[in-house]
Amino acid sequence: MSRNNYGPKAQPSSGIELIAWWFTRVSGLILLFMALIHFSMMHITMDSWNITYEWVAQRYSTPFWKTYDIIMLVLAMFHGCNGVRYVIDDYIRPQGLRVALNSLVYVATLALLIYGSVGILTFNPLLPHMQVEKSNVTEPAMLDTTAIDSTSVVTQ
Amino acid sequence: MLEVLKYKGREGMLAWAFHRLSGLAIFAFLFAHIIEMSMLSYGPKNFESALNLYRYNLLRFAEYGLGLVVLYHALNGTRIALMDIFDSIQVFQKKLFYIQMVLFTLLAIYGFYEMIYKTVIANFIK
Repeated sequence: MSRNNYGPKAQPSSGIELIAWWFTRVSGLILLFMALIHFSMMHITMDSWNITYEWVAQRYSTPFWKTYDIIMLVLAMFHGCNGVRYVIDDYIRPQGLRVALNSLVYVATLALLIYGSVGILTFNPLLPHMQVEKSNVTEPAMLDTTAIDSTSVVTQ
Repeated sequence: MLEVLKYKGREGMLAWAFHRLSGLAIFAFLFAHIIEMSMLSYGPKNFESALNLYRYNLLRFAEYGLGLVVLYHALNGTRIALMDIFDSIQVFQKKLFYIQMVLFTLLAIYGFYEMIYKTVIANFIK
């Protein structure tokens, strides 16, 4: 695989590097469809300004969109983590700084993964503090005509 | 700036450079996107105020720019992944790049119509 006559092999020979290399390609092909559908749903079939809390709550009322979003989150975070790791390994030569930056990327990836998954999985719009308040329904304002019309009776 | 075109790599090197830049940009955006979307579990008011960060007309162009970045990274990445899985098409690398850029232009124009014309320009013309 990935053998050509133009130069060194682009594919690592074995081990974690090979797994990471394949994961980037496979997850990229899956994410191609998932991410483009996600983007077109949010920006093209409906305007992103029309996204409301109720719309998202309705989306997450069935397991399908929760699963879709979690799979997309996991694949995208690992795909991105691997990509940034390639960039750091290419441009940062001093070993201490490289280890520090790579660790930062791994910690950020894990933190976002956990935070995002917990947010999606534990979303419960039926809890009292998570419900949309219906108290902003105001009665139509009554015109106060006592000053100009002495015959009107304003009942309290 | 145009010296970058004097390197021998031509389209392949430019494609790779933009792939890296777009990947880093998407990762940075994803960081902010996950944090802002996690406001969902803090209640409707916090979620709406997080979404209100985007409700400025000027940011529609930033949204469109994000769409272009994702589109480029996706198309180029597909080309890379397909070339890595099927070794025999690596000979057509440059032709595939041109096909990819034609597709990119078509989808960019369609995206401009959907995201910018319908929302900003059509309301401006009225």
